[in-house]
Parts: sequence; C-alpha cells; structure tokens
Amino acid sequence: MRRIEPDKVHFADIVGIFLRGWPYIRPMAWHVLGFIGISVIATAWGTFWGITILTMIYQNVILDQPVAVVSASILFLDHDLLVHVEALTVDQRFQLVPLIVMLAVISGTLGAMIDNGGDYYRVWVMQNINQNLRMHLMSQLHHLSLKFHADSKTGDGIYRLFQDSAMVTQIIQSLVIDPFLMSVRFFIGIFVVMFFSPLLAVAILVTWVPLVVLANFMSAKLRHLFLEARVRNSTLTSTIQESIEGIRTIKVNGLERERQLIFENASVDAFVASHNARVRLLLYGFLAFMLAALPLTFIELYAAVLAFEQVPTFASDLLVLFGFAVWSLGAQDAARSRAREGVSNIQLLFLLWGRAQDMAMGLNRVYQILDLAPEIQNRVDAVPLKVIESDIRFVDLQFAYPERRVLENITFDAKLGEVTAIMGPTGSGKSTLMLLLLRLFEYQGGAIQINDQDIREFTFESVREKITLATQENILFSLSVRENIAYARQDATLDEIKEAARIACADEFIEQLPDGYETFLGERASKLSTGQRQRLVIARAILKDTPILILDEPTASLDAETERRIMANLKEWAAARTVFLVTHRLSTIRQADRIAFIRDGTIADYGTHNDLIAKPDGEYQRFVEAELATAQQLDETA
Amino acid sequence: MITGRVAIQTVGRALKYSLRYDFELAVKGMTQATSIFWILLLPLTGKAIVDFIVVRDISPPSDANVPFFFLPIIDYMLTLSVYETAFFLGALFITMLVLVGAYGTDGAQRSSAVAWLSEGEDIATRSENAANSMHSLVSGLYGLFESLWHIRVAHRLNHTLRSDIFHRFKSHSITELSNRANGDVVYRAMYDTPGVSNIIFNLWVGPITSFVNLVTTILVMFVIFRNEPVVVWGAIAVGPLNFFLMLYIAKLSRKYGTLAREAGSKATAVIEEGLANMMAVQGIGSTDIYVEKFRKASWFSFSRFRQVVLVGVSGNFIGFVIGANMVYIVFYYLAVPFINQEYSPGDWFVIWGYYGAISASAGWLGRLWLTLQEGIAGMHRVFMILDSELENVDPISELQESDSSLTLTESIQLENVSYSYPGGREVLREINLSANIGEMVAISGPTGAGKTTLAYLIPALISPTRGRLLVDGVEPSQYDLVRLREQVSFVFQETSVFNDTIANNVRMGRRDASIDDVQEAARVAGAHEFIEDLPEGYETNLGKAGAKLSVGQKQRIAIARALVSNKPVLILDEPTAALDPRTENELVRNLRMAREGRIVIVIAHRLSTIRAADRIYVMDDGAIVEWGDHESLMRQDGIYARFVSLQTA
Repeated sequence: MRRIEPDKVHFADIVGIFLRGWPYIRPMAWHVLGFIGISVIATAWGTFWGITILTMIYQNVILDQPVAVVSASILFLDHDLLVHVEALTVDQRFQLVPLIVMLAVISGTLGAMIDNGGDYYRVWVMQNINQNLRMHLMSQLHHLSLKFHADSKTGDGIYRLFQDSAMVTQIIQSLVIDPFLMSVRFFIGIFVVMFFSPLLAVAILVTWVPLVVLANFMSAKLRHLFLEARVRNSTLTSTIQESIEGIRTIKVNGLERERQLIFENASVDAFVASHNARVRLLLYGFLAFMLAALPLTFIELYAAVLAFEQVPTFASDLLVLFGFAVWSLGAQDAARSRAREGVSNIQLLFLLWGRAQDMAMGLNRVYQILDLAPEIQNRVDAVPLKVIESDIRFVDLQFAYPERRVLENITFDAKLGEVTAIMGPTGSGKSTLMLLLLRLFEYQGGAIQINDQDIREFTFESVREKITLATQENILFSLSVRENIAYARQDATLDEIKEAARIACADEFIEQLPDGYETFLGERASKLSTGQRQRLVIARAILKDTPILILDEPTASLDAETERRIMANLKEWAAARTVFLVTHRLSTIRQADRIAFIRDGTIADYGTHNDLIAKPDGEYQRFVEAELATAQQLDETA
Repeated sequence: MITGRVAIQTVGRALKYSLRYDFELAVKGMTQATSIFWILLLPLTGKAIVDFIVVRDISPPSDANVPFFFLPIIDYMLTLSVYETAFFLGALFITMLVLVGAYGTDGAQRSSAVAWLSEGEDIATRSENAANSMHSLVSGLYGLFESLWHIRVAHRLNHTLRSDIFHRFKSHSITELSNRANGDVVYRAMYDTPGVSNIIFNLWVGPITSFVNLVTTILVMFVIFRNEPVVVWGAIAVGPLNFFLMLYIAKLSRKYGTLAREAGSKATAVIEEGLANMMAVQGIGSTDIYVEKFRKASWFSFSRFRQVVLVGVSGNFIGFVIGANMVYIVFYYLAVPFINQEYSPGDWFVIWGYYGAISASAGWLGRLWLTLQEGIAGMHRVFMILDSELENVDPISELQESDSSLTLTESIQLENVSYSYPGGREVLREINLSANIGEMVAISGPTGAGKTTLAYLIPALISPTRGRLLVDGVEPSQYDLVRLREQVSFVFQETSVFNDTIANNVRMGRRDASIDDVQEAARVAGAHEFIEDLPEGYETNLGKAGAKLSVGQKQRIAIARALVSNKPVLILDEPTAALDPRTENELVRNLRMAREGRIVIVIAHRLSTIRAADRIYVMDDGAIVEWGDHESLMRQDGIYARFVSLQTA
C-alpha cells in the first residue's frame, strides 16, 4: 500500500493526488464546462452591473459628477445633457434615481436566477462525479480478496465511501475554478489599480509573498491534523458499527457500561482530533487574514490622501472615460474596492490551500484502497469455463495464511453427480478449502482441476458463476422471503422459487407466515428461528441452480426430522451436479456418496461411508465410534 | 412526516437539552453580543476616511451625525492635518484589525473567523461543517477567542449527543434491537448529531445576538438619523417578509431534509450489509446485484439531497428578491436628502452600514424558522432514539444500579408463562419450567418451536406477557431483575467477537480474570488448542468480527467468555452445533461438571448433547410437550423417542 506521509508531501504530490480524480470527472466533462460557463456568465453579469450601478449612485446621485460615457451609452442616455457637462443639475439627479432602481431590480433578479439555477446544476454535476468514485471504490472493495476484509473494518469502509470520497467533488471547484477565478480577480485588481497608481498596484502584488511563507510553514502540520481527524472519525464509525453488531452479547454479559466507555473514548479521540484540526485551520486563516489586511490598510489610506490632494490619476487620459481623470471620492472608492477584491482573493486562495490539505488527505485514503492490487487476478491467457464435464480434482493443494499453515497435500476427487462430504474437526480448514475452489483465496501450491485444467487457467468470474455457496452464517437481507430466495437470480418465477423452497423444506413454514412468500423479513430476519433461516439460505442456493453447490454446515440448526428430509431431497436434486457438504454431523455425512476427512490440514481418510467404516483404525471409523459412544460415556460419567 | 407542531416540540427539546451547557452557551452568547459594539463602530471609521481625508468636509454638520462614543475621536481628528489624520486612522485601523479583524465602511476588510472545510454534495459530509460554523461576526483576537470557545462547545455537545444515543440504543429491548438496521444507527450517531449542535447555537446565540444587534443598531440609527425612519422600517420589514414568504418553503425543507436523511441511512445500511457479509454475497455470485443495489441507494440519497438543495435555492432566491427590492425602495427615498445636501457624502456609508446591520439581523430572524427546518429533520431522528421509543426500552438496562441483594441460591422457575411479540404474535404458551442449582437442563424441539425465546425469559431479556418468573420461589422486583441479569451468562447461537485480543474477548466475561483463568476457561471450552496454534496466541487481535476464525472457533471463544464469568446461571444456545463430536463430547462433559453450584441450561438438537442433561424439555410450536430425563422420555414414546430413533438410526 502506497502511503503518503503527511509530513513529507510536496506540492507536486498534492497536485498528483488531485489529478488522479480526473477519470471520475471525465464522464461529466461537458457538464463541468457547462456550469463553469454559467458561473462565468453570472460573475461577469454581477460585476458589470454592480460597478455600473454603484458608480452612478456615488458619482451622479450623491455627488453631481457627469455620467460616465460607458454607462450613458449602455443606458441610451443623452450624452449632450448628461455626459458632456460640467455638473448635473438637481433635477437631472432626481431623474436618474428611478432609472437606477429599475436597472438594479432587473439585473439583480436575473443575476439571482442564473446564480441559483447554476448552483443546483453544479450540485447535480458534482454528485455524479462523487457517485463515479463511490462506485469504483465499492466494486474495488468487492474485488479485494477476503484476506483484505479479514483485516479491515466495516465502519472504515462506510467512512471512506461517504466522507473521503466526497472530496472528489471539490477538485473542480476548489482546485480549478476557484483558484482560477481568484487569481483572475487578483490580477484584475492589480491591472485596474495600476491605471490609478502603479505604487498601489505593487503594494497589492507583493501581498502573496508573506502568504506563501505562512502556507509553507503550516501545511505539513495541517495535513497531519486533518489525516488524524479522518482516521479517528473512521475508527469511531467502526466502534459504533461493531458495538451495534455485537449488542446482544454486550447486553447479556452486562458489558454495557464498559462498552459505553470504549465508545466514549473513541468519541473523545475523534472529537479532540477534529477539534485540533479545526483550531489549526482557524489560526491559519487568522494569520493569513492579518498578512493580507495590513497592506490593504496602507492602500486605503494612501488612496484617501490622493483623493484629498485631487492629483491626476496615473492614466488619466484613459480613465477620463470612466470619470476618473483626477482622484476623487468615486476614484478612491473604485481603486479601493478593486484593491480589496484583489487582496482578499489572494488571501482566499491561500485559505483554500489550507483546506486542500484536508481534501488531499481524504482522497488519498480512497486511493489507498483503489491502489491495492486485487490478490485474485485473471491470468493473461485465462479463458472462461464453459461446461463442467469432469470431476473436480484436488491435487496436492497447499494453502497458508500469512501467520499459519492451513492446508497441506490435499488430494481427492469430488465426482460429478455425487454428494461429497468434507468433514473434520472444528478449525481443520474445511471451509477454507471451499473458499479456494471459489477463488476467494489464492492457493500457494498444487491445484484444483476442472476438465483436467487448473482452475486458475479459467477466469475467476466464470468459475464463480458455476458455484453457489450457502454459508454457515445464515445471512439474509432485509427483503421479503421471495426476494431473499431470489436474491441471486432475480428473474426467477414464483413457481421456481416455490420449488426451491420445497427442496429446502422451507415451503411449509413460509406458507404459515402472515404474508407467505411476501412476508417482509426485516433486519437480520429476526422473526425467524435459526433453523428457518438456514432453510431459506439453502433454498436460495438451490434456486441459483449452478453445476457446483457448496453447503457449509447446512444442517447444524435443524432438527433430525427436517435434516433427513432435506438430505433426501438434495440427493435427488444433485443428479447432474457436484455437491459439497461441509459438516461434522454424522447423520448428514452418512447420506453423502463420498467422504473426505480432513485433519490438521491434510486428508486423513477418503472414500464411501461403507469403505471407511470397514477400514480398521481409520480416522473416520474412530469418529463414528466417538459419536455413537458419546451417550454411553456420558451415562458413565454422570 | 414531521408536522409543524412536532417541529416546535423538537425545538423545545433541543433547548432543554442544551441547558446542560448553559454556562458555555452564555459565554458564547455574551462574546457574540458584545462584538456588536465593534460592528457599530465600523461605518464610523469609513465616514472618517471620507469626511476627514477624501472630501475634507469637517464643517460642524458632519460631527452632529455621530454617536456619543465616537465624539472624542472626531474631536481629536479636528485638531489634525490631513496627513496626521491618515497616520492616526492607520494606527486605529491596525489596532482594530488585531482586535476584531475589521475596520472601514461596510467593514471594508471584515472577516469572520471560520474553520470551514471542504464538503461534498450530500448530508453526511455537510454535517461536520454545520457543527463547526461558528456564527462569529468578527475576527481578530476577539473573534479567535470566540471561535475557539465555540468549537470546543460544539464538539463537546456532539460528543455528549453521540454518547447519549449510544447509551439509549443499547438500552433497547432485545426484540427491538434485532429489528434495527446497524447502518441506521451509525448514520444517526455520526451524521445526525452534528446538526443538533448547530441548531442549538441557532436557537440560543443567533436569536439573542440578532435581537441585541437589531435593537442597538436601531437605537443608534434613530439617534443619528432621526429624520429617516424609512431606512429603519424598511430594514426591519425584511424580517417579517422573509418569515411569511418562507413558511411554505420551511415546510418543504423539513420534509425533504427528513427524506434525505432517511435515504442516507438506507445507503449506509446497504454498505454495512454488503461489507459485513462479504462472503455470503460473493458465495452466491451476487456481487453485481449487490453493487447495483448500492449504486441505486447511493444515487437515491444524492437525489434526495438535491431536493434539499432545490428547496434551499428557492429560499435563497426569495430572500434575495426581498432584500434587494427593499434596498432599492430605501434608496429611492434616501436619494432626496442627499441630493438636497442634508447629509455629507460620508453619511451615505454610515446609513447603508446601519441599514445592512438591521436588515441582516431582521432577515436572519425572519429566516430562522427556515434555517431550523433541515436541522430539525436530523434532530428529530436523534431524539427519536433518545426519548420517543421509551416503550421499547429494556427497563432493566435503564436501572443500571440496584441495591437489591438478590442472590440466586436455589432455583429459577417459569410458571404458566406466555409471551407475545410486540406485533401480537404469541410465540410461547403456558410454559412451566424449573431449573435448580446443580442441574443441567436441556431444551429441545424442532426449529421454530420457540426455544431461544424461552431462554430470553430467564435473564429477563424479555418479560412474560402472562405468568410469572420466580427466583428461589419468589417473584423478583424490577431491582432484583438487575441483579438477576448480573448472575446469568448467555451464549448466543450466532456469537460476536470484538476488535480486541482473544484474551480480552474472553475477559469480557470478567474483567479482572487472570491469564490463567482465561486459559482455564478456554481449555474447558475446547478453544485452548487452536488459540495456542495462532502465532500470537491469546494476544491475537480479532479483526473485523473475527473474520479470521471459523464459526466453531468463535463459538468456543464465546463459551470461554461465559465460563470465565463464573456466574450461577449459564445459558448456551446451540453450543455444539458447529463443533465436531470429539470437541462436543469434551465440552458436554465439562458442562456437566460445571453444573456443580450452578444452573446450566442448554438449547440443543444433538442427542449427544441433550441426553447428558438432568432434565429435558421438549418444545413444539411454542409449548412444552414433554419433559423428564432421557430414560423417562424414551418410555413415553412421544416426539422425543421418535427424534432419538431418527438420530441413531
């Protein structure tokens, strides 16, 4: 995993993080341009009318200066009466008032419509971009092997999907548009003020120097704090999630107070981390503001003094068109507002840089996941597995977790059309073996062969398509009974669903539910008993109707009667398929055609029930004896 | 949907809740209210530049329009030349910059202290910023102090609310708990709570500050420009106009705010469901179906948020139209005295400065109801957990402490107990059961017979709808039930392990258990061997819900947890279902030994487990149909005998 250390990040790294957002933005590129266009229009519209109207108010209503050439032309005013005169009469000034009000109302309302409409459009565009990244992250999470998920937490996934990925929406706005507009306003400010006074223009120009020093000084610490805040909040989400998941265990063990404490500690950690980050950002903003405001104070007063002295403006020949041949109240206001806009925009730009540190850290947390190469990958020459024509052969299979060996020298055949029971002590690696067949883990040595080819020569998607696994944890979704059974085959007809339920002996209790197949199961299907849930899971697996079916402890929570009936139905159904039963219940195992006994990660015994029971001193024989003897032993010890 | 009435009640509850932080809020309110003084000063400094430097119009009328506190400064400046004035004002401005971060006309360089972070286009990311918007009016040292104070209080409030939600959540009754989506609670705790702290500020500090601001500014305005009432009335009118024109928008905002949060909750639940059940999803080849489900849920929550945006955009537009039009009406009237030279040009800035202050406050107050709505949606969801679900709360877990001295010494009995789910479905009928210290009792029967529900009655996780629970022959009080629960250890069929070391997971049964106790319990539960095989042994951290362990291994850790707690009653729900016969035999033998001095209750299907019990209760369809020991039940030749013959055939 490529880790970005917040302390050792350069400008280029930050830019790199943001550039990586482009693939998610690209599908929306035209819309992005569209809303940039709208904001440019809205800004230009507002600025133009704002300046025109305010100038007219100051110069022509409050004072009696003649109307500027440009304004008069746009408003079709009589140049002879209003422009080429010494001063405006009181009557003329009164006449201008309703005109100005009308102009302001119309331009303002139109401007607000463009602004607000553009805002809604922007939200839609940004949500699309965010959705693209979320979907990529989600499908990546699903393509990482189970090994990854064994080490990561659900709450962390939620936080990354929601909070971290959202930062992608800010790339365009905060890193392209805003900085662009801010820089433009900064330079426009300098440009305009230059015509009034080059000295003031230089004063605006140099404001960025101390800001760069400040940003350079504080960025690393900001990144550090932002990352910390995200990690802590992510941990808090995980803590909540985990506590909720295990709430029953917490309750009955009287651990409520203790768990509350763990929760509160996580909450305090998150609170302190967010708090520290915000405070630092606040301080940064405060300092940036001070550095920008000091030169501005100078500009403001200097311009005021120039206006008092009524010295000619620097480019008075040009500015006379706007009515600013000499420094005046209007000129002071115009120069001052441009200077203010220029300086405050460069200050905002640096504030944005502060926030960008947080965005970079957030996006980087998303990329961390996206950068993980899925452990299970198709070989370059992998072909799809079409029809299964042979037995499934396990040849000298080896598998280990990083910390311990799980399977060694696993060799046996699971015959087509038969039910093969995989049995062995708890934790012997039975379930793991099945996950290898599904290619949810990658084995390190030996092979699993279908049609005499290593399954790694097929695409893993095509192999998984042929297999259905009913897990030991009976997981149902908060949907109706029908939707749960049809979860993996949503086009199934009700008859097919009923048939699957019949094979799994689930039809009888389903019919008794208040709404039958349409009964809504709710969270974790808590209305049903474990045995009932188990049967729904089996029905779901049967309905999927794949050539290979794996049932992991299908009968653990079933009573003997139901178990017998399900097994009989299954054997009948299995005719042209390969069925694996992972179990250690003797009554279930006996109904299998062949039995593979795993012990300590290797095959200790393999054959039919009758073969194995006849084999003197075999592992299986000992197991059966142990099972049957239990009752007697217990009677003796009692 | 939340009605206007409920919305007002929710606001009332938020106010009540916030009283826990009365001092902190009072300080924040005080600092913010006093910062208005600075803001009132700002237009005057703007006037000073114009009248004393630019126009240099210092004839008497200019100082007539000045409030008393600014008079000394005016008097002083009258003695200065233009350049001296510029230096003096420069010094004054820099001082104000450092103190409050502002000076000049409309607060020419005014900034309010912010620590705003980038956010996305959805409620979840916005909630954090909402909690951290400090509503400071000024910056500088003054604003810095105010903001630091604010952030601190906001975070503490969030933390308190989160903790309260969690506390209340875990007090829910066990039947209620299993109906709740995990993702929903995550969303409420993480994303609905931050909105509440924001709303509390909006309710307390905002209105008070705005009101003080309004009154002071109006007073000053009337003192200086008593001939221009239209300015004041125009500015004030912005408030009621906003309020009435936005009543309908407020209703929409509340509605869509709620819908958006519900959609966000749903999306969280979908993520949670998929990530927590990765293997089940992949095992049935439904990854694509699941990812598609997430795509829909995610986009749906985005769409819902867009409706919130649309409502907000409409509100902004209406607010703009009201504000802008009022400005022009006032301008229309105000142009007259200026053209007639009744005021100096510098006064222009003062009047607009004050107009701005009044209309901003009035507008803020007028829009307050609208501002609150979206927060009310979140707050309502928080309070729903905090108080409106009292009927679902487990009364015992609410009591926490108990001075009852109940100690189980003899027996637990259920007498004619029936139980119905809150929905009304009767799952247990006329149950009679007794278990004495020193006994191992088994409950058996077909799936769905009600065995687990029956076991829930014993530690009072649910209370009988009819009939009685007797402890040592007497009916325990509520307080006794707290003690009773402390004396029961329950191992669920689907067990949970937590993100901690194995040793600590076992120690959850008894915190002060030594490592020897832990190992001993693990040995009895048949877990010691595989734990020792792990490279880090008892110090292995169990990651996400213990994904590294098999179901049977997790179950054995849960059994060890129950054993180490050493409580008088031990209830195990299908403890052997996932165990191989050898481990099972050993465990059952250990359990039989463990019954010395305690009651062991086992729910099981497997004959080898059941027949070890002293007494077996056979259930069918919510009732106990047969009971007795193995031999006597075999003689009865009923359900049990048929069941035994099936397993041994």
